[in-house]
Amino acid sequence: MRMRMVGGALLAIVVMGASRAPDVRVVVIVNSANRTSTMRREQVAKIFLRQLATWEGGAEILPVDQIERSSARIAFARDVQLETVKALKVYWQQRIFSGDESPPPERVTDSDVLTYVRSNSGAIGYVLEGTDLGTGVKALVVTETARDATAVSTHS
Amino acid sequence: MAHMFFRARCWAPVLGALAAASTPAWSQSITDNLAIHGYLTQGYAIADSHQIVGIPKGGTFDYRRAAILLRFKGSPNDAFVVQLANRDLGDSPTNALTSEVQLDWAFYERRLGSKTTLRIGKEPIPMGIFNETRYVGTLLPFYRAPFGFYEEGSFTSETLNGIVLTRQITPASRWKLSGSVFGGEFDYLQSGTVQTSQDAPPTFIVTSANAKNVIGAQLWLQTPVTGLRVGLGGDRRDDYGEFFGNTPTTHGSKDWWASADGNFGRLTTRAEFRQLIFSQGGTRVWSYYGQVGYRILDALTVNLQRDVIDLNYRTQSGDLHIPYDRDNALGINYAFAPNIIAKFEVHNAKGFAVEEPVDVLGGAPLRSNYLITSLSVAF
Repeated sequence: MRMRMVGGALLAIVVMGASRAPDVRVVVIVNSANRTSTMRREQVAKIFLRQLATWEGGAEILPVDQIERSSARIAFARDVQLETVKALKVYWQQRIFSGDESPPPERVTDSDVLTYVRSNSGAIGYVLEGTDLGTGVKALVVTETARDATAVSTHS
Repeated sequence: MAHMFFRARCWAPVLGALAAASTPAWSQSITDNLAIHGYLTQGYAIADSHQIVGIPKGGTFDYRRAAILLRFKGSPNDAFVVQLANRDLGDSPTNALTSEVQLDWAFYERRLGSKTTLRIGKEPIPMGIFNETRYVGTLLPFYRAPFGFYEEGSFTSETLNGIVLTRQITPASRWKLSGSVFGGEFDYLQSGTVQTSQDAPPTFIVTSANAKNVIGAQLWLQTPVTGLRVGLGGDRRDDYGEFFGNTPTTHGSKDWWASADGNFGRLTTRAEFRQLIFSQGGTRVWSYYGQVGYRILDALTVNLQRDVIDLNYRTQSGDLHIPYDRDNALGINYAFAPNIIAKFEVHNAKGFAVEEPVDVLGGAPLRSNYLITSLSVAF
């Protein structure tokens, strides 16, 4: 996959925390069999809103979230989804009770997320920075503004 | 007797259990392909004079809506959705013609490409801001969606037996346009005061009816102004039933509506207008409302609403304009969490939208105040 860094705007997966989880950063991870190595922040956000459904090639994207109260979830919502967990919860109520998609499944710990991603080739998740990823999982580079990331097909 | 006891009393512990269970763990999919969700709103409502939408002078705890929703995902492009619902409207005579638990939704959903979705079966009608989520208390500023526009109990159906096709028309534009078309049929109830002439005594009736050959559309335009969208929709249908006490007959009707929905951080504003025209008799119904909500604190929101229904009867001596309903409301919501919300609201109503015989053509509008307090949970 081609990769272009625009203005050096490499977020490197992660972003500094601010208010509620000041020192927390998260790392976006995929199964090591996944050929994707870089994605735009907006694409990752859309995946977790179920607005992107398939990887390039047609395989189903399987996002896995963390529980609401986890530091990783708060940081991911704030830094990648650019929303609060509360606002996302309202969003999902709208979708669910219109008969639309359900939110991604949640896991309680980083370890649970790693297990899920390791077990599913189409999975994507996130864990706290510094977590030992072990085998079968790799970190994604998440860029803010790269315009030619073609790892996923639009499925809104 | 046991059945009645269940209706009246057993929802309190259910509500408590659901509130306790409204944790992330309950929001999980049972498997990655099967998700179960639900909501419950339990209310207490009391009126000071006339009965309105099932709210009696003596008050009622039988004011409730609940549903369990199951969504099974067969593949990224296929899903099957079933929703079972219970709704109680206090002392409303419409309760006699509705079942305690009903199959609310049962539809197959197919994604066609990246921008188009097809639903087949019994699915919610894409109409206005609230129709698809009109019974989900955690998503409504008041206990119910505005009565004039959406109705409740009679002259309305949340769902349609047929198809709904939805397409994102310009998803990448700053002006995001999406549209739905729908077709099919639905059953509903008719109720109201029957008065065949100005000299005849009025009576209040509730009857079953159905709408066939329904064809309609809904467009939504997301504007570049963050949080602001506008909508336009309409439908036509053939109504079958004892409409206003006539012998079974057929009436056609046409309906169109416009919506504006603004969410600007702490401030929420909504307005919708609807016009319904009956092909026989030339009766027209206009309904419109405005809502303003302001979040004073993180969890505390104050809402105001003005809800109006006007009728225009065509009589032999000319058109008769009737201010059918004026409902002004003030509500306070407290959100313990986004999915646990308590509400207290007071309404001042004036008109003829009461569940008792009234002289719509010649009588004076009736005044009534009522309040509703409720707790809503969703998971």
